[in-house]
Amino acid sequence: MSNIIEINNLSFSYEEGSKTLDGVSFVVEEGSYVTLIGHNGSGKSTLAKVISGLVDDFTGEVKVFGLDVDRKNIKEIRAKLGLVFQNPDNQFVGSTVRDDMAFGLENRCIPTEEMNPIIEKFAAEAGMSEFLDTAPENLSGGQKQRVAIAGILSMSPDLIIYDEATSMLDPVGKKDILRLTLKLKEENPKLTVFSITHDVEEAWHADKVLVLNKGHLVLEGTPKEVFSHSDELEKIHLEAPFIVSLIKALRNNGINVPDNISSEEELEDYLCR
Amino acid sequence: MSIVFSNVFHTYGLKSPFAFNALDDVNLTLEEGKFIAIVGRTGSGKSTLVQHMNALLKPTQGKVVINEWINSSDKKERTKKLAGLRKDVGMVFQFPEYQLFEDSVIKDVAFGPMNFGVKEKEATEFAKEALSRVGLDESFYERSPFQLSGGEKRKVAIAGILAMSPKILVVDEPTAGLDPQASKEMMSLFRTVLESGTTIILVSHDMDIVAEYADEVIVMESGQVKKQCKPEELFGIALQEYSLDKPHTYAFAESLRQKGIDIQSKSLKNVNELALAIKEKLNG
Ligand SMILES: Nc1ncnc2c1ncn2[C@@H]1O[C@H](COP(=O)(O)OP(=O)(O)OP(=O)(O)O)[C@@H](O)[C@H]1O
Ligand SMILES: Nc1ncnc2c1ncn2[C@@H]1O[C@H](COP(=O)(O)OP(=O)(O)OP(=O)(O)O)[C@@H](O)[C@H]1O
Ligand SMILES: [Mg+2]
Ligand SMILES: [Mg+2]
Repeated sequence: MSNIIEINNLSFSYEEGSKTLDGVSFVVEEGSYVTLIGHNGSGKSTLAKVISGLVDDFTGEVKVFGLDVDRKNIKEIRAKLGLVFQNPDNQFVGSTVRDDMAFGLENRCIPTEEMNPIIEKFAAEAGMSEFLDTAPENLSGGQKQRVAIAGILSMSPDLIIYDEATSMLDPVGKKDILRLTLKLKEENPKLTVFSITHDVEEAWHADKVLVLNKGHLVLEGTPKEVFSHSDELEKIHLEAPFIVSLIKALRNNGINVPDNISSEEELEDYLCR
Repeated sequence: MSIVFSNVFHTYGLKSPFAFNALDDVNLTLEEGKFIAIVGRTGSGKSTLVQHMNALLKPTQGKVVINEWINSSDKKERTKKLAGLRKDVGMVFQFPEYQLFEDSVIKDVAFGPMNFGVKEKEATEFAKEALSRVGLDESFYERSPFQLSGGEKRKVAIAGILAMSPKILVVDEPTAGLDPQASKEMMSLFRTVLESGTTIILVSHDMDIVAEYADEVIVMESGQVKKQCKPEELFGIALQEYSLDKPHTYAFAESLRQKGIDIQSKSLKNVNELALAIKEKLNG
């Protein structure tokens, strides 16, 4: 399987003297769902910007779709990469939701007559059909996030980067977007998702979890591997998913849950045996 | 200070073809000194509701009475000067960016108290204290608020409101974008603020947080208040119709119940309470 993102010894500073990203190396395989977690200010959004070619002056090697992220390649990379910003307002350009989505499609050279069906399809998928003629600034927080996501997904990228894209959605809305993303992945097995999140439950279901601490990549692996380090994670401001925390609390109360249990269902069955 | 909504409507774009009823006959009493959570699906009217509490929005019908202040659709009835209300009811917006505007963090946080008459020197002291309470050290004082990470911006916005020592603190999704530890620390900070006599009004999609911290919860749906009750009462019922989920602890207890272990405990604020309840059940 090929690597969609390949990063080798990446460092970056906003200002001289302090490194925001320091010697970061990892790969993201094509078709995988990877989450990046880390404390506030650890460098997650900065890393997303580097991958999307939004900052210059980094050192080290950054390859996306096998191409070096530089001036020469950036157009080609951006044509297949979609970044959903942490603040959706930073993404909107159109005066209505429909215009905004059309603008994105125009950038991808989609002919005008093909736009409307695409816009309507993705607005519907994101639950925003009723709001196509609404101005983005007149939407609620969660509605803005849904529109920002619909806009990026409508461009059919091969690599989606979510920067806390669902942080203001209600619990059902969060699940809807996850389901939609997984559906798109099924339709396009090449689709790769790189999701920055503080939601450890989302991370628990990823193929791979990356952990940043003060600009350093400190842990990397399957969710089970990464979250088995719950004491270390706590030291760097993170926590384990509910199931891991509950097993720990049960053990503290003298209930010796065996090691092979890793889902709520398995735990329920164990407790009910 | 209590807050009373009487027959409040809010229509955005009133008299335009895009008129939209975001609040639809809200009647609600929020008591002083409580930790009150407001929940409900995306677009249900939570942010619109809370912005009536310090008159950032005015009702298009009905009135909101906040102690001596009246925020009414009727101009004659409405209190003329609302500046004092803005000091007493501190509001942190859902998007903190819109609250930041000075060129340094310290000035930004000191702005609120200065705006209400505190001298610069004292306001700066208030600002330093507020920043340390939200977990931002001296290295942040001279930085531009616009060159911070998402979570750091939110902390600055919250500090800016805390520095004014409001009597009612309204926070709209204050933990969105905070890392797990910062989120816990922020919630325990709000609890400390509550204990000093401030009413806390929290808008949140995080049911685990609501279960752990709120005394009372209000459910919004399509611009109406559908429920006002204790969290444990809410989490005992089916929540899907409001696009809400149970907190993890309640959901797990429910699954156990279906498999034959009926957990007795009424309140399951966190994993420790749940583990204890399971232990008691298995041993007893
Ligand atoms: N434009 C900027 N200029 C200078 N420093 C910046 C700028 N943007 C971010 N920083 C700093 O770089 C560090 C990393 O920021 P970044 O936004 O990447 O963090 P993050 O991991 O995304 O955090 P969060 O979870 O709060 O969004 C932070 O300490 C931040 O203050
Ligand atoms: N300025 C505005 N003009 C027109 N309609 C608006 C405006 N602001 C909000 N609305 C609409 O009013 C309804 C309620 O919005 P509000 O922001 O109060 O929702 P919310 O419950 O806070 O949602 P969220 O959880 O997504 O933040 C939404 O349907 C929204 O589209
Ligand atoms: Mg960020
Ligand atoms: Mg809102």
